[in-house]
Amino acid sequence: MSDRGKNILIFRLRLFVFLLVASYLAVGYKVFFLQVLNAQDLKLKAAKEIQRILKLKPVRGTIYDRNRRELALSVEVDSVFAHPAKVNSPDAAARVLAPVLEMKESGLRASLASKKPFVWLKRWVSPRVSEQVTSLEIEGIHLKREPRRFYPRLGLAGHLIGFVGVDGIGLEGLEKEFDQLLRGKSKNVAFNRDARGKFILTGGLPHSPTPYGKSLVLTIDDRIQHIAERELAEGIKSSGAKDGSAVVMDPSTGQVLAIANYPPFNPNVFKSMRPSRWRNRAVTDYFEPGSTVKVFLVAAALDSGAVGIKDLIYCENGSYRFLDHVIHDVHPYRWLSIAGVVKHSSNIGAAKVAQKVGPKALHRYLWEFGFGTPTGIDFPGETSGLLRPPRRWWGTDIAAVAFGHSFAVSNIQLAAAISTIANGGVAYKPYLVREILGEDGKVLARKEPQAHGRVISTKTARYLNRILMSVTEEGGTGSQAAVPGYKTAGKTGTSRKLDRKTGTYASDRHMASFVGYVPAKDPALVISVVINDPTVGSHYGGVVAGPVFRRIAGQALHYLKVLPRGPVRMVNLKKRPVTQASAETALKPVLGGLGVQ
Amino acid sequence: MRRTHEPLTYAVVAVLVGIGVVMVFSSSAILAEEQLGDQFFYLKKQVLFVLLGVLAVLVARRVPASALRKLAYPLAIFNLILLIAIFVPGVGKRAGGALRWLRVGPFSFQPSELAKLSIIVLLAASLARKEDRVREFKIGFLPHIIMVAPFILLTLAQPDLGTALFLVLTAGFMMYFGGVRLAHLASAVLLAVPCVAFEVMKDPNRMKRLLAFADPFKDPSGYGYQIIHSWYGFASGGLYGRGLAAGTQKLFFLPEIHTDFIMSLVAEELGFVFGVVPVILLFLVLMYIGLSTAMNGPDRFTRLLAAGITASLTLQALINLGVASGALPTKGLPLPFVSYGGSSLLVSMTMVGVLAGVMRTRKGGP
Repeated sequence: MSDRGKNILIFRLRLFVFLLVASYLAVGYKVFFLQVLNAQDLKLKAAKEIQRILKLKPVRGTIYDRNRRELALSVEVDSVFAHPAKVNSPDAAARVLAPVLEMKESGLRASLASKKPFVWLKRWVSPRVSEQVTSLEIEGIHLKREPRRFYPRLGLAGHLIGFVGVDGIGLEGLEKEFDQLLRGKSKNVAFNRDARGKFILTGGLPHSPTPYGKSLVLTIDDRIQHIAERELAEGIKSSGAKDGSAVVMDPSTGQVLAIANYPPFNPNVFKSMRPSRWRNRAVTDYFEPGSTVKVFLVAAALDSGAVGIKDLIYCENGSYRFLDHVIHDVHPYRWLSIAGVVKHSSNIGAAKVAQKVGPKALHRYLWEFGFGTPTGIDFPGETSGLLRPPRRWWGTDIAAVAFGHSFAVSNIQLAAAISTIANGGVAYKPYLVREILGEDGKVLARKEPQAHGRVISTKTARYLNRILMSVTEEGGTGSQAAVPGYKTAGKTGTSRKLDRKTGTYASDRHMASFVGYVPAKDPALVISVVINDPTVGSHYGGVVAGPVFRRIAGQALHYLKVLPRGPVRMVNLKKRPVTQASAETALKPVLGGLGVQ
Repeated sequence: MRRTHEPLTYAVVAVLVGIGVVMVFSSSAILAEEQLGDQFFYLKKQVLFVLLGVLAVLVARRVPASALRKLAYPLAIFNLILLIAIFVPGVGKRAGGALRWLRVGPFSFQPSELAKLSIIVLLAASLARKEDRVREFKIGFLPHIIMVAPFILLTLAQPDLGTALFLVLTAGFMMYFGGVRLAHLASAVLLAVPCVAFEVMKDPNRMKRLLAFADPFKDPSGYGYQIIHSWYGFASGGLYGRGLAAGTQKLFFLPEIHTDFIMSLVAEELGFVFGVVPVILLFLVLMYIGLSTAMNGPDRFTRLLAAGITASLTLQALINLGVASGALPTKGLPLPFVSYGGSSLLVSMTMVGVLAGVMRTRKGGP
């Protein structure tokens, strides 16, 4: 080989080396650009394609009673669904599945033949059914675990707890009121996937994948709730009434210990019950309170100084003409002290006291006791009742209000108002949820009692206490409410119901109520019982609602270990303070259809 | 006695082959498990061809240059027969719309891969014989064009544009090293441009592929798909990589990741620092060894042989990396020693054997 050839080769090799190295550097830079300089942009694009956000649905929080006993909880349950496109033979699959799922074959066949990519066949099946479905091994039929809401105490506090719809949204009651908290927030977890859409879990699942909603601890005590429900139902059944409610409160805090409603409601099967049965009447419904309002009238009279404790009121011997109306008392009285007006529930006396107080002051006191405005209890759909401003009180309204007509209250308002008297004069806002718990059970928030302020002086409260105790004593209208062994304070109420068709008060339809507290000295419980339309026997509050009060109070005090004081006085149940016959004859309503005890 | 670069050559090749085996397994395990139910399928085949390659090295390094020179024409004719045999029904194996493989028992072989070596040996022999007269058009240029034309045309007919273009490139650098006048080569390039343009434009898919090269994100689910996912691999690897087996694009995103796009996975799992840079450096070392062997070769044939083999291996690597990184339009060309593929591996290792043979000749030669 010639030197020339070799020199050319060497020159050309060097040129080749130069170009090749330069090209390598260029490509190397291109790679560096991709991997480092421009990586962020590409990574974002890649992540969009590779990452899939999996939305983890939170498990709904638990609702506990005050002693952390579960009233509502969520449990993971299997649901059966299908990918219809993957079901080879909808006919065969429907035939096999129908008996297992206890569904109609034709309906199943239609679902399985649907063009949708996904159909639910049956939500929330029992473990036995899910096992059977699994063992059938039908292509395209799958199970998915979903949380389902259970109310393990069945109907207990059902009206209060409410319920959750199929899609996990609280629709009624506390489930609705605290829906956001209970439901919790779904957690987004980013998973990588392969090009076929399968999730890659090699990176491991996040430590705690399932998010939980917050849990509630109620002020409700399930034992007292049970007692209240049982006794209310018993009282309603024995009096042939339609419905009713009972509220049990702690007067010193505003904590609601029980709210019973009748007819009962089991939220597990809410769909099978008419919406009217879902209602928590104690909070959502109002009624004309009748004589129970005399308590607040007298409170206003004493506190404002319009009437002195020793003042005597002339009760017109049972018949009193006021403007163009005649007001009657069940029993005729001549002179009664203000205590006597309450104890004997004299309408004439009340009307006279009310005139002394005056519409403005009476309205102000009623308003401050919490009537005419929602109590603000943490429950949805609360009524404000009806309390007209005094400039719209006409003619005899001052007298009507005095014995509980032409204005209306809810049971919870009544209970809250009587609590104010029971605790010595301070209004507390009633509430149902005392604690909010995190998923680890730690208390995130605790609700403290919320006082609205003083409504009446302690002195007035003390007077009232004495007066209300006399109601349950021998000869008082509420003697059947007296709890053996305890001094009991309270007031009966019987009001005629307004017939919505005729616009007048029906003579044979009543609201019977008893509201009171026990023990009268240092009260542990306020109980307010309202029974709608008693038809068997007496319709008087003291007779119909009084015993319910007594039984709830007696058992609840025993449960709360509140010791009796003084000798146990047995109530003679046979001896009724007001017989049905005497009531019938005494009630000659003339006051615009207002017949009031 | 001078030291030779032979051990260093083996070391470089061994490292590249090692990277290849690991990455082939990493890239193909899930695919193989899904498609064939055996995650080791591609690994086993690759290892088998590595063993065959080692055998090829051991044989090739012992073949004397003089014998190889005499074998140049028979080898070329043998290779052409193989290239024709592909088109015989029952002998050739069609895959992915192209007839590229010959069935050899349970294996298949790609004669166009062998053509890379055949052309080098053929042109080295011919150019060496012509000595100074290579500068003449009729002696140095035209005959060689005619010699390689059948290889290129047969490869084009498979069709395999990528390999055909690389064979053109091989003929080009062989003539360049052989001393053919640059004016002739330049005119050939000028002539080739319209031909290549025609080849590209007659197939609308090739055209689209070329356009996708300019901006892959214009057609992200079509022709831009492969390069975009290759880029994702590079980007996801970053400087230091995601770690072995942690690649994402191999999960059915990036097609051909175990063959032509293996550098994307090397970049993703080993990163720029531990993956890309070492591979580039290894090929540059190989270039250094090969070209210094060429410069010190005992005769013109061995010099051309060594230069040709070195250029073939390093250019393939360069083009492969260029394609994987999107610096060049997508054309299937494996990364020597690393990509999955028996034919490429076997031929590349045979080349290394031949190169080692040249080193031995110089060592023991006159």
